[in-house]
Amino acid sequence: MESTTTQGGSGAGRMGEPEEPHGHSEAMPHHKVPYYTIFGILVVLTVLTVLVAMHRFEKEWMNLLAAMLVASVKASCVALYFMHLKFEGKLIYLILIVPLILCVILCCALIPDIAHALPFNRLTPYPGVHQ
Amino acid sequence: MSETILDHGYVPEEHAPDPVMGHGDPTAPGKIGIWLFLASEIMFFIGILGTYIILRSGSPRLFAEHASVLSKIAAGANTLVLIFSSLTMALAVDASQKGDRRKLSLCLLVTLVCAGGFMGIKYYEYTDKLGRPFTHYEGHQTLVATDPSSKTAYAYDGHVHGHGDEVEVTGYRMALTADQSFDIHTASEEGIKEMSGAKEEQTFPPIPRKNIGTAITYGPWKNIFFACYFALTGIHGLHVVGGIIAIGILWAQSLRGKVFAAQTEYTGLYWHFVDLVWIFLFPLLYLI
Repeated sequence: MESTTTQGGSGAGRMGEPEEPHGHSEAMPHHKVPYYTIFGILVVLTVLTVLVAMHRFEKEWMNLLAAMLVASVKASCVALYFMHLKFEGKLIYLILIVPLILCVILCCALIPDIAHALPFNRLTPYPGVHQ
Repeated sequence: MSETILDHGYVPEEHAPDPVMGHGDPTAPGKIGIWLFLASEIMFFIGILGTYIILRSGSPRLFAEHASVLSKIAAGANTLVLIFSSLTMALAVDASQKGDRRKLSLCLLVTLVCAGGFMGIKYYEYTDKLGRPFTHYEGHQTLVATDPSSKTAYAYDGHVHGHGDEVEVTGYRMALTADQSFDIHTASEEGIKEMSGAKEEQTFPPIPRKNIGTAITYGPWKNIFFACYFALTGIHGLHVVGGIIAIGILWAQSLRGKVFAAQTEYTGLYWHFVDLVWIFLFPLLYLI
């Protein structure tokens, strides 16, 4: 009854980890990814980002910067290790870099609008209550 | 041979050299496909995130005050649940590549349970804000009502519980005078707390339903912050549901004794992406 059929994983190191394009003829060893360590780092960073948010810096932009920095480090950990990006070939990076560049362009396109809104922010009365 | 082709749709290179793919890059076509899909997903999410950035920059105070209503604890717990499910998904992919069916089943099951837990916590958060189904005036609300004993108009903000013809509010309230204009959409719990001068939330005497002038729950109709909140978390929640379906199919197949290594890997990539989106949504909506 214990008939386990593995599909797709048979092609000697072909499925999970593509061989490097240059010269490796033998099958690559299975990547030892430190999943538990990465998980630990992610948990610590989550706790850290909540603590920073509870503490709150005086300057609003510092809160934003701290939260985004921690989120970026966490996202990098997930992408590099959980998503095996660290072991991928050039093609995957090529696919990935295009939307990331477009994201940066979009955010840059938003700057004029944000800058335009800034002078009015100071004038915002107490939300909900106008004496 | 033919069975192998039917089962996973991918022919190892040594059996069927592909004239296009065979030139040095050994990345499986399926993997390129899923990465292209994730690339389009990145652009999809940055589109709605850009909307959020613009709207937030336009009214930062309203966003900051209403964001403080959201439960950091629930969202933090959700972050940990999702990160843990990412770990078990990564272990499931690892097990599938080693052909370890038992470990694969277990890891996929834990991932499913975590995904269900995430949606459960989301349900708790949503119902608190939208109002619980099949009950009137339940959940977190802002309302204007006249106090039956003193005949003064009050603006309340807090959790509402219905008792027949009366409702009970636990939260904050401020007295309204005739020359004050009060906007139920922009009024926040923090604002009313500050104006009332109360330190802690309290339970007020029951208000007859007929005394309630206007009331609004914290749904997307409340204001632009909650519209953003429900759009972003709702779309992310739909992605989680999609992941649950895919992981559920893989789990059911693993129980039948089948290990789909490639498909498990692609589902894993998608699942990690869903986790990654939440990693950004959590600080953007709940923390800053």
